[in-house]
Amino acid sequence: MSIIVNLDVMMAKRKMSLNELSEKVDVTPANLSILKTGKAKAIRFSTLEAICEALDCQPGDILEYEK
Amino acid sequence: MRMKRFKILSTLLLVSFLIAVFQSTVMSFVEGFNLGYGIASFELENHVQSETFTYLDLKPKTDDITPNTHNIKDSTALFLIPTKASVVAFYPETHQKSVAEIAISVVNGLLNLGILVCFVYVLVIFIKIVLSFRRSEVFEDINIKRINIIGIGFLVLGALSSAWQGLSIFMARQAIELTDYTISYANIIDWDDIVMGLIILLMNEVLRLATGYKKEQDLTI
Repeated sequence: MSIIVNLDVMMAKRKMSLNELSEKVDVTPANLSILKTGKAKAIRFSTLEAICEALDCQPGDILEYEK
Repeated sequence: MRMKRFKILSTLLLVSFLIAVFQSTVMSFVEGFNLGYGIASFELENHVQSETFTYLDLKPKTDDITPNTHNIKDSTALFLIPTKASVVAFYPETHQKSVAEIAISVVNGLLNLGILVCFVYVLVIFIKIVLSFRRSEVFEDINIKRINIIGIGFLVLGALSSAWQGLSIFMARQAIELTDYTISYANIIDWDDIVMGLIILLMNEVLRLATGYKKEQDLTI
């Protein structure tokens, strides 16, 4: 897959744990883990918005396209 | 609510299926056993041997329809057209079958055994699926595989039944010739099972697509 999820990088930058982010965005740690490890097939705009708000970043900081 | 309806329908399907199997196999077996017992008794008493030809479609030899029985209630004339009839032929005890006849009988017996094995296998798989559905396990890969097996099973059943039917009619036509009827090859292909198998395979493809969509949905965060 050519879309890379850099959620772990942003979480490390913000020094935020998975459980902490999970509580802030109201997504289960299991689902966040699926997203973090790149196993997710799709991400809802609402989830992306919540993550961006919690990590104070842009969608481009979390998702990256690689050829 | 949707799952409740689904479970009720699954239960109804299972119960209906078991009753249908009981009616079509167990009761037929009991009736066949009684008939077989009667034939065996007749053989012993009259020192003859018999051969039974079953599921024969008999067609009148001529277009000239002459009533061959009557209605006891009001004595009106009736014309009987037997379909799926059984004919029992009696031979002297000294009657010997030819090698070809024995070979055809063996093949027919093997086809019969194949039909039985296939039917029991399909039955077991079907019960497993319905039990799985009752546990709300609908979009599971194992069920798609099982339904696929059932669809293929029905196609195999149709092919085996048709071959068995064709061979039975061939054997009957070699051994007997009736005065007023001919034994017809018209309905030897078992289209019921074949069409059912194809419908099941088609519906299974719908379920396979739905399962794929569900997997994608489950991985949408």
